Amino acid sequence: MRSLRKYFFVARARIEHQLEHRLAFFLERLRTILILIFLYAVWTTVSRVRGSFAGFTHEELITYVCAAHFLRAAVFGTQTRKTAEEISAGRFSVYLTQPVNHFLFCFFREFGEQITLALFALFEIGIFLFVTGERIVLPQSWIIGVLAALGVVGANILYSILTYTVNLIAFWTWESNGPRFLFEWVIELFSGSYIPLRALGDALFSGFQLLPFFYLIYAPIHIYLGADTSEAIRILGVQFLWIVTSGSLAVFVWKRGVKRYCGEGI
Amino acid sequence: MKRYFKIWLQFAKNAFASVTSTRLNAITYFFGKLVRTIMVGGMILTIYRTEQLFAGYTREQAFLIFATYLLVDYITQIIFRGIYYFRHDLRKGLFDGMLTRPMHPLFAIMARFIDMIDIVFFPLVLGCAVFAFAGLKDFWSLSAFAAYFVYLGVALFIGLSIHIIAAGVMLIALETDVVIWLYRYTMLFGSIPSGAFPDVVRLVFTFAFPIFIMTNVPADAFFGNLTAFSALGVFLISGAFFIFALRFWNAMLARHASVSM
Repeated sequence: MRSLRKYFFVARARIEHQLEHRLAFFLERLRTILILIFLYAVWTTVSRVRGSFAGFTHEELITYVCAAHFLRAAVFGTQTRKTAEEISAGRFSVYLTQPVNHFLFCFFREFGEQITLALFALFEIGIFLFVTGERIVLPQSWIIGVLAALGVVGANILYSILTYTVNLIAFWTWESNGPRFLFEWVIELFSGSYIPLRALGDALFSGFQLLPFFYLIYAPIHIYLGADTSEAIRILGVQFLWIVTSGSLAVFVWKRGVKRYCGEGI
Repeated sequence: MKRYFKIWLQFAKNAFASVTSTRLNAITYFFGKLVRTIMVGGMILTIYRTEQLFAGYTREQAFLIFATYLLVDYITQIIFRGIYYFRHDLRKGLFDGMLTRPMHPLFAIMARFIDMIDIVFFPLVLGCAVFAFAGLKDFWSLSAFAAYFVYLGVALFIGLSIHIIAAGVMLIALETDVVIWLYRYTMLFGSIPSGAFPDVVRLVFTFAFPIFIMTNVPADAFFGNLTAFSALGVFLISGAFFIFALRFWNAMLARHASVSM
């Protein structure tokens, strides 16, 4: 824990940075609120008529939209490309001279941001529910609530590893913006951040379950909304396997990539 | 006008050279845009697959609204792509150089980069529009198509006004370019019929920030749903919006301090 202390300072510095750039922060929040209102309108227009849609009741859909709003903040943060940009611009050299683990440094830098965003997201959801008069579903039991929270923690770690690995592409090419852009939209689609994946049909849903992105947004919400304890534990187990697999891949890519780094752009 | 077209062509050549020299970026951006369009389209089609009526429109009618959203979104991105680089220009002082050149600064800002990837993508968007029209044969008439394209022109005109306002905001808020991204996400609202939204949202996105006029009105004009009053009102709102945008831009430009120099 003592060795992690320096990384908490990194997280705190990031929070201070966010609160210093308030206009950018609030406009960014406004952008995500727009997404919340849009998804609310889309999914509830259909569920209001029939009472349910794609196996979700109206209240479950409201819960899904609100939970996705929270998870986009708590898991994705602002989908920063900072690490790739630092490698391309040569600023990465600084980390090679510092007594820090580069992954942990990047993880905590984003973690600081995600904490602020997640707190604001909760506040926004509260206001949203108050204004619309909608209600959300509560977890069946406190155990399910705890397991869903564990799913959120796992999703955050898994996303951090995936985004870090994609950023490392910058070791091979300075054209890393395009791959990042593709990655960002792939996870938005395949994680269920916009669309409850079950609504896309059984065949596609089965396919999505085979991908790590499934465990970023959809899986934690699924645990919260209706999984029984054994199913929730199975989902968390698969999520853990993905963390281990993608973590191993990240270490492999890092070891190969850092050897290629030549400080170009300094 | 001829001079501006010549400059635009040169900008287009530069953009083409830029895209062909960064092929990995170009390919991955193309597929990223494809995934994004599939996601929004998938969301819309998921609803229309199960619902006969959506906010008062048949699924074929609602699909034309989605196709119109795609058309407006992609055409404005192709033509006004330069705005996405404006913050960089401001911070590096490049905009001050633009002000000394014998062309309107707004033209230099908007047209200095033409998105070739969107041009490559555009046939798919056109295909969507053709597919949407093909499903609405009952409404086909010369006047219906004429009305549609007139209001599509109005939509692009409003798009220009919004980009001018975004450029004006960037002049005074150097720390962020999220304003233009706010517009892009607001455009999502226009991908479905306005009737799906609460009254207050409809009001805001019709009169204050006329997204629904950009995407719903051309389709409504095609269906013959526009009254004479609303047909005229659309022209008045878009004209007033353009005048406001230009005045806003001029006011912000007067405050520009070339701090980056």
